Amino acid sequence: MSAPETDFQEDRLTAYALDELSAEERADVERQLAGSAELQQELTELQSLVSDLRTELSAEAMPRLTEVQHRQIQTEVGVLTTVISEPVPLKTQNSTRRRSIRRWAILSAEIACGFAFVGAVTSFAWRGTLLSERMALDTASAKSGLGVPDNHPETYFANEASRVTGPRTADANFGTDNYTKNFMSEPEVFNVEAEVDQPDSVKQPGFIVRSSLHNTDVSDNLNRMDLQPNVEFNKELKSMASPDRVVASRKPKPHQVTEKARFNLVREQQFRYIPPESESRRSESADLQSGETYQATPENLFLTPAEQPLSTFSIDVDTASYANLRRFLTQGQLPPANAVRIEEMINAFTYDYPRPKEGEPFSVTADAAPCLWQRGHYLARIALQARTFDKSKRPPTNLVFLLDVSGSMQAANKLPLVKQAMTMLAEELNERDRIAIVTYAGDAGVKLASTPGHDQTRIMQAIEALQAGGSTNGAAGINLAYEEAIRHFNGEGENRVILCTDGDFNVGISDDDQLVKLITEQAKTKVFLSVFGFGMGNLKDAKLEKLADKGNGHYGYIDDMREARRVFNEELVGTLYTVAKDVKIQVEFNPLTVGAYRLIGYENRALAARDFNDDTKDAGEIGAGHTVTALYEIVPRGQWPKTPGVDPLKYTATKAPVPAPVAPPNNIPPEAADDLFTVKLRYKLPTADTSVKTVDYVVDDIAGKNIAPSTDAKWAAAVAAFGMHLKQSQFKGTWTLDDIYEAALSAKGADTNRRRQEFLDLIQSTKLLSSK
Amino acid sequence: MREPLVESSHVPNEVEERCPQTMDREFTEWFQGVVDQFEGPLVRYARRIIGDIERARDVVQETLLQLYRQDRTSLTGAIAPWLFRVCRNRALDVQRKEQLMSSATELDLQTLPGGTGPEEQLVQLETNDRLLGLLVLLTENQQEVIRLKFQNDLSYREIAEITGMTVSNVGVILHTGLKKLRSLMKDGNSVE
Repeated sequence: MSAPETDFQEDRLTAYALDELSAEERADVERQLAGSAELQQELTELQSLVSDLRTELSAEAMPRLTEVQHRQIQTEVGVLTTVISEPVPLKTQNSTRRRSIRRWAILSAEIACGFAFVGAVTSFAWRGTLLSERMALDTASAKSGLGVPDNHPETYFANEASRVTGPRTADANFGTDNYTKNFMSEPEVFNVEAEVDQPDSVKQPGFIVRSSLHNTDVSDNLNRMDLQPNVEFNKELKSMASPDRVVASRKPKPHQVTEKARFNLVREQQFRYIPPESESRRSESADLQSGETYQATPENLFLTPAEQPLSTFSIDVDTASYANLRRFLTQGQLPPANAVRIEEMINAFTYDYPRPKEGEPFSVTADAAPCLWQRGHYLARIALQARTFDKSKRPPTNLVFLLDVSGSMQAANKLPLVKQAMTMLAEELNERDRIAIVTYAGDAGVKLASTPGHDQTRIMQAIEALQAGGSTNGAAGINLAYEEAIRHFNGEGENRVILCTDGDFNVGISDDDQLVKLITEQAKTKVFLSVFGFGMGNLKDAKLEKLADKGNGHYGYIDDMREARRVFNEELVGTLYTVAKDVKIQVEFNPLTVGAYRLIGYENRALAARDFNDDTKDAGEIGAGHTVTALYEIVPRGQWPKTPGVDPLKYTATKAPVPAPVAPPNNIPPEAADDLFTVKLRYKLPTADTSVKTVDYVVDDIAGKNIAPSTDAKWAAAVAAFGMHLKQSQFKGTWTLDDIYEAALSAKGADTNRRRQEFLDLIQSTKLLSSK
Repeated sequence: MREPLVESSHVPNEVEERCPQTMDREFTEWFQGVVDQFEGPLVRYARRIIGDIERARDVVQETLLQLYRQDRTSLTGAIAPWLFRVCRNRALDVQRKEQLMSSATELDLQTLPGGTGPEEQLVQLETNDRLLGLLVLLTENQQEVIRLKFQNDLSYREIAEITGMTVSNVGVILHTGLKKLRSLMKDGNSVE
């Protein structure tokens, strides 16, 4: 402990550096500085530290308030004065954009239990009654925290909606009577769309009573949609909402909406967006269910070997897309194009691929056959089959379930299903395994500390006791889960966190980047993460996939008991155990034989050519027993480029020149001249950091050969064709749904797990839906 | 005094008797300016205390609205200390009530890449986040004062007003904090 005087000195030096001293004190310090080189040095270091601190600190993120909150403030302040009744949020705080822009006040008042509060509701509907009515609401601010003035009956009105698409036409009367009618008792709710114009004369703050529209958790901080309603207000209401059906509720529910989305009126209690004309900022699919998001990725185009000889991508064993689109179709809806990932559809089926050799994590098959949906084209196939092992021979496993227990998880196809899935899995555990349960977003915390697998009683009791709802503890969640996993890390076995959610991401880290960082870091320390989506209406598909990707796990979607059984029982080893990670494929096409090629699917798995050999670049992992199939459509050389011929001239004797095809390079070794393509693969063993390269697999040209696709190849082709159909791909070729069905039927094979039959049924459903 | 980074705006002098339904243009415009200017820093500040960004946002929203509803004659001088003080008090209330995880732990998680203890965190730090990472090893008071000073550019006096400490207290805490940072940077060990 240094002498007090010195401390005082130091203290003052700091204050001096920060300009906090009086003139007198300043002079004093300067005198001392003049006499001491040591002090000067001290000062310099201090100033440098301060400067660095300032730089780093000012770079820290400054999150703004949400759009909702801005509008609430504006309304309070009197800037926003119109009442709108359609679920489109205002874009900016700029008060000059008031006129003729669809927008909406996001407040809702709850008139129940004797108090009203203002919460954030982003969608609105009521039956038949008009939008433009005068309402008087009592608003009391106490509970809201939003500061609506006490004892202040506010009067609002809205102009006549310029366009209402409700089941009844809007009554254009401006009522002069105020009423405090609670609109929310109607059992059926619709969305309506309206344009409202600002009246010149009166400027009043606008509030509107909204009836609740079903669904969705909104506390997804990661989803930077424009509208992030205030969860806190409606927390207790979340548990009242069952996202799958409209609830007649007196309370408003938060709801997420994209900018400029318009709702369709739908009688069954789901609704979809109609994509806005303008592209959304984050290129997220506009074709959404309520709170669901899908990433829009343009499909792969044809490329020529001359320009792009190498095609590189990461494998993908996620099967979420298939389960998800199955969910849409069985509920009578066509899935949004962006929810369809063809590679995941193909990989959702089992195939008869050859077993891998001893010591190899997976086998590789590469071949080509005529393309069935486009005469003259080929379909190249690369197929991986991971080694599997019997459940009895699996490695010891340290599992932590991280469960979303927000109110919305109450629905039958969510937490109850999760519990059943967990039970199935837990039954398989033994004394070498450990299992823990951590919950978040509701009654959060460690619900089951890591327990040895044979203590079935305790485990089952904990699972049974799980409940959705309760208050949010923002801090618990993913960190707790990783802590539990690390505490009981098993060096000889598998360590995995399994996240089960319906989309709510309040896992305790609200910053996207931080979350990804955490997961990536943990994956490096061999605690992997798998993600399972349940239910609907709030699925953050792209986010979930990304997290699983970063966590060296896979992303699955569980829509029903059968899928749960498949994932957590029949294919348990695949779900839990990775046989190879960071698996990359690179294909080189021969310009002598290939005119153009197109990778079907894997759009969001593309890698740069140099990433293939770069071990620091992450790629997908393959679990035990999994298969991966990748398809390329190939246009043989000679048929590309597909320029239409020029018509012969009528009046001139000379012929128009036919464009010459691109001359191929002539430095190809003769023995490789009739290759079609070569496949290279790299992978890492689950605990390794450097990759292994497999041998090259060469596929010969099939021109002139009479080759028929194998059953598996044909099945994969049918699935791909179906996927392209759902995506309305420009490359789907000549096949109709009937053709797809025929091809699939002929390739059905033994179908012991009946999944292929289910696919055939889905085609039929789609036919019916498409013909509507 | 150097020019603060976060400009303290002053309440316009002429204000009318407040009535929520009157359009008080000048005040409102001023207020909107305040919102724009301060929402970011305030949310960032509140989040340090509470940990949860949504709650932090709520607190900031309430603070701003309270500013609007405040009797304007009572608001004199710079607005930043008032905002930070009110925000701080609300945030502490929320934190106490909800019994959230201690700010220290949450701060760890937010400033650093995944990892567990401080030792690992030290090792994992990238150079340009280094100071921020070391910051979490200081006491809560030290962190708060450092942030108020260097992130929000408030003076000792303002910080004292916001936190309820004395001015000299603020100076001492800041100095000790900086001293610790320096020694941490030098050899990774705590001097104290």
